Amino acid sequence: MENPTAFDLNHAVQSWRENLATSPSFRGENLDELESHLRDSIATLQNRGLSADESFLIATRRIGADGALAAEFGKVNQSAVWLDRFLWILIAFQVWRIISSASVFTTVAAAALAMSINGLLPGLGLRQFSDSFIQVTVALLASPLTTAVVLAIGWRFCTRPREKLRAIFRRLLLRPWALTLALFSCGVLFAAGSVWTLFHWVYPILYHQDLSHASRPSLMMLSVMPLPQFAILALLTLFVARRRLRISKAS
Amino acid sequence: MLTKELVAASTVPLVLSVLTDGETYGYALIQRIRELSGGKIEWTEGMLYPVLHWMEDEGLIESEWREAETGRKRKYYRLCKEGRKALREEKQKWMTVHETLTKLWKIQPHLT
Repeated sequence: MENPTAFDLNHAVQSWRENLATSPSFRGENLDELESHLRDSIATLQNRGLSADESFLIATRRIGADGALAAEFGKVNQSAVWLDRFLWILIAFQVWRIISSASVFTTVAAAALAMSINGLLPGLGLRQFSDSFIQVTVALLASPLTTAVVLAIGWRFCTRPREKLRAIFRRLLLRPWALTLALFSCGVLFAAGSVWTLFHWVYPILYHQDLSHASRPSLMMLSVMPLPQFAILALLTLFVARRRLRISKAS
Repeated sequence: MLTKELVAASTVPLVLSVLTDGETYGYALIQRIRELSGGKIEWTEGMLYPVLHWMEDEGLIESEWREAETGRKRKYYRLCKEGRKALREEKQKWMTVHETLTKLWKIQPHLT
């Protein structure tokens, strides 16, 4: 029977390479060359009588730590490194906009909750808070709290190597069209949704203003207005993501 | 052991000098330096490649991917005309340092 813990040299070299490939500092050709070096080094050590796993460990140590290698290769592949940074700025900006649109929904939910709790207070023999106090508190806290919670969840799911969300994100980075479309459609949906919510729920609940009938054209205008901005961001994301991918695969 | 700075400064002349013997690939180049220095010059092996790529960008060396006898592909580097010129200049600089230090330390060549 095959030993389930037997060391698979090819698999080890492959995951070593994949780990390096997560850094924008390496082009495809650089990884080919480093892998060729590693395999030469392993073969020499094995010829001296070392086992496959020992040879792999020593060879990877001799070739250098991933971070140090990325730093040195980054110096000769600066355009790829800067393109990668620019792409992350674009992604972060679009994600931040989605989060701020989403915070309108949490504001509504928080306001509805706060007001219904406030309504129960007299029944418990307690004094009610004024509406303006609730308006200010909800408006001040809901958005930053939503941002913090979303960022914490995102951090939790994206930083652990085996998390599914991280894997999905890595796959998206390899598909510029999918990445662009995902960010664009989420951005537009959340922006339109937030405008609709603002008019139909936020104003009526928080400020007791019914804007749902009088302002249909304004509602349309507010929904359409950010579209050119989303389109420009999407085009830029597509361009940068495709270029980044082309450079990283360059030979 | 050599200091990091000295290793960095000597990498280009060492690579150029090894390549005067003919084309070679990264791993063999490192082995040759290790062997010639008696193991005293130890590079973090992966760090050689960014230097090689920089030297290629500068037109000192050129490279080509070829299949080796093992069946795997390897990238071979060889010296260019610019590289030979750069090596002559490097040689002069290092000889100046070497001669000055030799005079200062009054080392007799046959004693070393």
